[in-house]
Amino acid sequence: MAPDQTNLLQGTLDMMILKALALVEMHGLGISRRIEQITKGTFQIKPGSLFPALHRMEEEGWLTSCWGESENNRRAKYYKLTSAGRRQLEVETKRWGRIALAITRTLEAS
Amino acid sequence: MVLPRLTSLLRNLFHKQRKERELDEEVRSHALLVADEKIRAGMSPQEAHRQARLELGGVEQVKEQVREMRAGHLVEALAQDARFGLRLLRKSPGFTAVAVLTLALGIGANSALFTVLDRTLIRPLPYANPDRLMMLWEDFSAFGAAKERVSPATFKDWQKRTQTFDEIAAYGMRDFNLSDGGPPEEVFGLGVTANLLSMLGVRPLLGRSFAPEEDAPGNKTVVLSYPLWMRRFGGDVGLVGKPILMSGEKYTVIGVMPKGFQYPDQQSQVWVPLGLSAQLLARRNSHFLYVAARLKPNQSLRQGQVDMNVIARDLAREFPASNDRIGITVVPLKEEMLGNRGREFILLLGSAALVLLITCANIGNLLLARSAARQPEIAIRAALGASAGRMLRQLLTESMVLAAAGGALGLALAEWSMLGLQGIIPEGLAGVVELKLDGRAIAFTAAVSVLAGILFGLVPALQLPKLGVSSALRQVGRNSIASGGGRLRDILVAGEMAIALVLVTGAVLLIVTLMRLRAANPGFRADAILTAQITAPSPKYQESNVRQRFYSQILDRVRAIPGVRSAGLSSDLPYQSRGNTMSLTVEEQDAQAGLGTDALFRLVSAGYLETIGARLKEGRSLSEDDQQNTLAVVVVNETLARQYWPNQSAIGHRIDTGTGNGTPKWMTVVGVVDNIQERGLDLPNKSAVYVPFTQTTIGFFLPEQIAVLTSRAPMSLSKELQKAVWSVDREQPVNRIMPMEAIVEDELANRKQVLRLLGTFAALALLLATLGVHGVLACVVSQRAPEIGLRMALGATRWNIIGTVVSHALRLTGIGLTLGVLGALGATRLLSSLLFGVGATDPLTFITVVALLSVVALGACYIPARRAMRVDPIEALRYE
Repeated sequence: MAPDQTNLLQGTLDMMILKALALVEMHGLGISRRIEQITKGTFQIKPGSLFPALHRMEEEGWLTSCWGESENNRRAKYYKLTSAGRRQLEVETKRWGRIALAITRTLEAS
Repeated sequence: MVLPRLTSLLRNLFHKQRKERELDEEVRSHALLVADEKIRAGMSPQEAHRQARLELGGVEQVKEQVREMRAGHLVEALAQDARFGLRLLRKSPGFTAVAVLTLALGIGANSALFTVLDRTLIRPLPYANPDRLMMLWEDFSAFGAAKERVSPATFKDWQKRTQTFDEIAAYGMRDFNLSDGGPPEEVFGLGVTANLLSMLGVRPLLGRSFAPEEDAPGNKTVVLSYPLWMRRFGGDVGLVGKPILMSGEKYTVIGVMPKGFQYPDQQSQVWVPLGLSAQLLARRNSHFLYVAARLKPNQSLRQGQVDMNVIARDLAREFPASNDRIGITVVPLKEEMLGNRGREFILLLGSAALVLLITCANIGNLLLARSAARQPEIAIRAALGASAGRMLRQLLTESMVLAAAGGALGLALAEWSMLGLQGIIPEGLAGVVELKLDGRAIAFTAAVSVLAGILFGLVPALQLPKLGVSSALRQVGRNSIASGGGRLRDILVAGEMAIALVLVTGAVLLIVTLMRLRAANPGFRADAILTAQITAPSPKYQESNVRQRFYSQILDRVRAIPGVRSAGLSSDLPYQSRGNTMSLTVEEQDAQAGLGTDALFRLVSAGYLETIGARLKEGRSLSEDDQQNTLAVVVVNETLARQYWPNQSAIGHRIDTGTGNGTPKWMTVVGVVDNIQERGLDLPNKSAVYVPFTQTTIGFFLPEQIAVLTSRAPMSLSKELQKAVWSVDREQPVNRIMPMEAIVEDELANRKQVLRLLGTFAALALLLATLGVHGVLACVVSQRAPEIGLRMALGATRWNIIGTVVSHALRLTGIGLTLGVLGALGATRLLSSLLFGVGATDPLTFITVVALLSVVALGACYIPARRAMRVDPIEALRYE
């Protein structure tokens, strides 16, 4: 399952989720709030996109999950990066770098 | 990265319930967390929870989206759909039974006929290079026969001159009286040129086939078929090299062919060298050889034909006396063996496909009615997050469940029909083709089932996009049934009527044909006659005196059997030979023996014409007194008499048929009989002569067929007939004992088989189309019950209401029948080679069928019309 060039958006979402989880484990809402915070509200991840992505990435072996207590004592499912997930984050970061560079060059041309 | 995904797949499939529980919990906890946030921001708890749910966009939708993401989702969804489909089908057993049963009939018919087609037309013949094998005939089209057997000298010329064939082989039919170890038995075989067996590319199981030098007069070697070797000689390996006794002569067995080998048909059990004498090889005017040939590897049928055309032109120039206007016909061996049957099989498979199409239209229609009733359910599912694709898949899966059940049952039906269909295999292939369902047939059945499932599954699916969720939901609870499918249903039913009309027309044309054939006057009687073949073996009865005495004695003994009213002998019974002619010269007329001047030649005994019930028109019949030393006489048929003596009596004139060994042998016409359909029911009459066997010495016609008119049941005579023959010669086999009626039925067999299948298909099509019309009208009536009620309340009479229903039916039927007539006009042409006495576009047949279908369609209105009449206006309006 090599990263697919055409699957740009899915890869980007994956990258942001992986990045959000890079430092600390979080539940779904935490992840989406963290991404909102980092991007200053540019990206708002809806549950309809978030949960399918989380489950898929767990099936890929990039994340593991466990049930824990939230800050206000609610039961919630927490996600954590695996080592495969860290490698994937590096892959996605490099890929994004290449793409960003390419797009920047395109825009600077002419 | 495949591995984790794979383990997930297994986990998903096996721990489904836990996964589902966790997912549910996760999504709900998410909603609670969102609500907590909002409460902290100062919202009232109630409002916070509402907002959280809105933001989530529906718990079920999110869950469905996650599910669709999961590994193994497709398998799971399909299984779920299939389970759901099965549940639905169980809930309506009537619909399910009708659908599965009709599907099984439709699919089964297709599988069975595919197997027939596959085994005969599609698979190559069991010889080496089967595509390059051809039959070559002398083309006597200028004289009415495109495929005439070949004369020896011409055959030799072809061998020498051809550029495109690498082998040309010849053979002639032989039969032997095999009397070695066991009761005497007639075995059929071939005299073949040495290259025939090697050209077919099948190596003998034991020993060898013929060496070139063995194809010489007087050579007595023989190759046996596997079945004969097993049956007669117990599969004795030591038999090769030993002699066996055939027709009183010793033949050395040099080989045994492998199991399953046959050429040209199952009947041929022995092969001996053709061994033509130099004298025979020089003949150009005796046409008795069959010629098979193999094209060179890079040559086409067309190139072969062009090559032979050139040779035929050259021969016509060089030997005008024998070859003028004679061409050469090249026919692929397979086409030769299949005859017209290949086309008939395609026609029947096409008919089966049409039946299946009607079945699909019908089931599609039923599903459409059901899906209209299920619209609320579908709307709710859509509201609960099922995507359009998912619902389409579910509808199709349901159809697939139906199709699979129909296919499985159809396969069973096909298997069951195999035995009955075996008789349809043409003679040339009968031994090598054993009809049974194999992998190919099963794959075909599966493909057809899937195709059918998609076809009728798509019908209700076509209605899906029209269903807006909100509009459908708004209708839930109201009694209105969406009428969106109405147009589609009408189209389907009109199509069904059209197809039914095509098939019924075909069947009726064949029925008319069989009626005409049975009613046609064949010029002889078939009832109460037993027939058999008694072939006097050649060396023993070489002398014509001995032979004549032998047959006279047999006749005497047979006539003495109690219950025998008369008996007679002939070289061919009616329908047994399309040819066996001799050249014809008429005294004092221009008609000289030559090309195209010939007559059917029947060597008969006194009493034969009376026995088969031929009607004497003029003069006398043949009598016991016509002997060697009395005036040579002949009875001719009406065609001959009219052709040569159109304005006078034929009696007393003299003809010669080349039986005088080189010098004319004039025979005086003493009688004229009504034409006897010697060549079969559907070939035109030809001149024929009936010559007393007691007055001719020629050896290549034998009065070997016996016809016995009896006052008992014909077959009850068979044992006594055999005994009578054996009392003359203990070693004489008696073959093909059968009633004359069997010969007549045989002549109709092809058509009867086609009719039996086509008739079944037509009946099925008619039944299905009727059900279709009935279904549509019933639906129309129940949909329009409120309107009907309103109209009745406003003063419409019952007849007005019936008129509404009937006019709907008439519209459907009218469109369907018009299309059907157009289709049938094209399709029945395919039948024309089977038709007799009726044209493929016979107007009377078409009118009858159209009338029949109209009546049936109107009949189908009866119940819906009655229901419409009984609509209670109060009741109907109350529900509105």
